[in-house]
Amino acid sequence: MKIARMMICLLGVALAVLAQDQTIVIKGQAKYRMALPDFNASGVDAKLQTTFNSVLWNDLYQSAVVTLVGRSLYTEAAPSAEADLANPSYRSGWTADPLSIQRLAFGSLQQNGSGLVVTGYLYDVTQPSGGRLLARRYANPATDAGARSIAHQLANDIVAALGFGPGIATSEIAFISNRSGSQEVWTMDYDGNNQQQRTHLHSIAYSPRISPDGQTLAFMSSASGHPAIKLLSLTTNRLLPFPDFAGKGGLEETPAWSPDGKKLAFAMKTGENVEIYTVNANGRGLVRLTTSRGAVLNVSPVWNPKPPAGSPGQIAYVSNRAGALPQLYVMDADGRNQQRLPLGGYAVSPSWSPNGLSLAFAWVRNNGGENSGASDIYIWNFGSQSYVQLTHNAERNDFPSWAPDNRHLVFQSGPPYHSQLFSVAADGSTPAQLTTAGKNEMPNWSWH
Amino acid sequence: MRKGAIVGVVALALAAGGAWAWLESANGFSAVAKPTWIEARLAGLSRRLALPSGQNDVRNPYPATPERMAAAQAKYQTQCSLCHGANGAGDTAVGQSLYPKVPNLRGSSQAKSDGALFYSIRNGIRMSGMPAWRQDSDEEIWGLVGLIRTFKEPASHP
Repeated sequence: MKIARMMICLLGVALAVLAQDQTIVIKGQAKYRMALPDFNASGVDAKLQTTFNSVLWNDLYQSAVVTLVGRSLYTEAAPSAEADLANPSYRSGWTADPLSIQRLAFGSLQQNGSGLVVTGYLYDVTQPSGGRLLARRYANPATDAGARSIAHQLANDIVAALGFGPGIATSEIAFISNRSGSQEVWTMDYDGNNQQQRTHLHSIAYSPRISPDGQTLAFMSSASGHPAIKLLSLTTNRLLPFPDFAGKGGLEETPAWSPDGKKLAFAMKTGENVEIYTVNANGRGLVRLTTSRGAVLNVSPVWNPKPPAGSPGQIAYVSNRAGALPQLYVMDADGRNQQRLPLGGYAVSPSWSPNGLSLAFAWVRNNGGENSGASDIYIWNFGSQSYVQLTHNAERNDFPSWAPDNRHLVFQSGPPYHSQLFSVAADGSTPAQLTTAGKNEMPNWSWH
Repeated sequence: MRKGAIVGVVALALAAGGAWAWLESANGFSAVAKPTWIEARLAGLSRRLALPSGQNDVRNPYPATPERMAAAQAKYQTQCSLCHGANGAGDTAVGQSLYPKVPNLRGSSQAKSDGALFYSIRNGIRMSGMPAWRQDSDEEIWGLVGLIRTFKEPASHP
């Protein structure tokens, strides 16, 4: 475990070094300096304590909204109760230089037979007295999963109490992995834990997309002998009925959920072209949105989660209609107001941020095509009509997907047959490798 | 003594050649006929010998992206489906009239390596209807290899 953690740290440092000339910053407040002493726990299973304390620390570190001050610098013991903070000299022990703590999170674990009860507090210790921002009690079975789940919930509550909600600690990521021998859909917790195989179709799958309510997953599968859209229930892990519009020898791919979860946009071959369509999630009401001439490919639609008021919705997608190389376009969800983003090069794999303000995408900026240079993750900002570069390395970085907090992205990096998944804050901080076994690709972050 | 051996070898060779000629002429030279087992063996051997060593280990350097899959599908339907069928089954009128008949890309061809599929498309297959696609880029051919992988017969499972 230590070695694994060390390797993740080293990879993180390597990524951070590669990403050092970052040009983007998270707008908003500076990060709070926070102390998080281990939670008091007498009579609690040692493994559960370790799980809880390390998951909570990692969640708050990964949140990228606080600067966690290292425990080796702490000069005070953890508060044994809230009353300790009424003592001015104890409180100043945290706030004095060099610790200069602004927010203090602490609490306790209790084990009653098979139950685990956690009490968590968050204090603004810069106030001379008081300053309680959060006090909450959580209960779960005294298992590894139970401890993990409480830590995630508490982390989200702390992030929200700091004014940065919603947190991502309880979110999930769907992805494609070949580690079982065929390309199947998998899901995992946002931190890479709890990796689960969701399909057993023994064929090729890609482009998994979790529905806004988290219940259904749309993806492309060749299980019926040609690439077609399939729906999977995430509660039963069974395929749901969905029409095969393309039929034998056809092609359907790259599904995307509308923000209300009632529609899907996807790409389907029509004649010599591949066009963007929308359809109700029940498989009715198929509508074609693009009409191209001369062997043009339109793929990878993605809806604006927060479209402008009065608009019928917006969809960004990839098309090569302007020339050989694919480019990013935006249109209304009825096919009107087609606009090309002024990029050039080879621009693919759009992901719209939950606040609607920006589009993450993969870009080979040279005009020589996909293999003419590094493929990096960029972010297009609709407000300033400009882009910023997120990754800077020699790897092939592709398929970015925004987290529900508008602050993190997950993406794939590495050679074609050994790519892995990484998450990173949009300011380039807190990079983490999430997968190691087999080839892992095309991640999709859940909506909540 | 040596003379006897030479006569024996020549007689055996003549007998084998005669037997093969008889087998072949008995069936005529129609492309519709089912090949004899000797022919099938020889054809299989020649296909194996035609593949340069190491080609089986060549991996597809181009990942299956939505763009590449769409482009490969468009190319397949224009260039390949006439013989191989829209879904790769090879059950087309043209495919079944060729000698040898086109393989089932959904079945037997799935056992071939990516490198072998690439080589067959790029260089064609001698003494068959499969032409060499010399004018297509490596990327386009690797895209077709990726697409052919999606043709795999559905597994029978619940």
